[in-house]
Amino acid sequence: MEPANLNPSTPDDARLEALLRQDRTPLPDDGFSQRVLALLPPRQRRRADWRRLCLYAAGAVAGLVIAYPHNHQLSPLTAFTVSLSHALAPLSHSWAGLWLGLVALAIVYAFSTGDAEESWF
Amino acid sequence: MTDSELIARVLVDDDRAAFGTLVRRHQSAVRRFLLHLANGDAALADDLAQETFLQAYLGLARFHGESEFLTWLLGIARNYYRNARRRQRDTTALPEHELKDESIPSQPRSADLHHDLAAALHQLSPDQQTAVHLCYQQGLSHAEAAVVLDCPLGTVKTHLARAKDELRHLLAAWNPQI
Repeated sequence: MEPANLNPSTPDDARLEALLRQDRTPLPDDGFSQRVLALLPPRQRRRADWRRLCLYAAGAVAGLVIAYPHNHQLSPLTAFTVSLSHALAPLSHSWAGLWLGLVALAIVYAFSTGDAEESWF
Repeated sequence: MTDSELIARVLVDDDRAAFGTLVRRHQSAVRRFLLHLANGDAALADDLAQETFLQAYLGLARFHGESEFLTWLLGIARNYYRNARRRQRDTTALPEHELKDESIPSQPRSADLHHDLAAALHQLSPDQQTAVHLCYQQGLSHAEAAVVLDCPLGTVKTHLARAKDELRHLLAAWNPQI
């Protein structure tokens, strides 16, 4: 990067500036860069989480469709809604709903505490 | 690969190798600048340089390319040095620019012009020393030095003009070489 506006006006200026520019010896790295990289925080998992969320959602939809494939007369959206209501029907029974709620909480907890770990992908 | 391309890789993919390339490319300039500010304390300069690069990594999204990446880094380095000096002013004395009473020989003795130049530089004010360091030893333009020093362009030009006048006076014994 050369100075853009250093225009020595006199020969004396030019000699002095040349002298001042002489000491430009670069410092050797000596492991400095590695030390800096070691200080960086763990990688972000934002992208990996998105991909994982998409995979879970796709799996859930596929599971619902496979589990309740008998609504051929209905539109796809209606069929999906019916399938979803069938899948969530056990929640209407109190004990089953409690257990499913606990499982859901466990999954949410696993997602939230996994942030400090390295990406799975 | 340019700095901009490397920065884009870091921002988009969190590419550590790209950031490592940026560190290797600019570590010398940043460490030399901090070495200059810390008056030769290499350990302090390296500590502050590490903090500078870490902060640069964490705040990379705020770099919009208005200046060169190195200019931005040197600005962070200067802020870190000033903060460190402020924190420790009341405890341990951090090395800083001080006017040193190093005498310049009235007549040139040996051919040790560089020694006399170093002594003369130490007699400049801290702002003049830093302006000279950035513009001549780091090769920044006056405008880039103004960004690093967070001062108007005219102030940098004034520091340089006065520094050169002072150096010519202090090194008068070396005329007509200077």
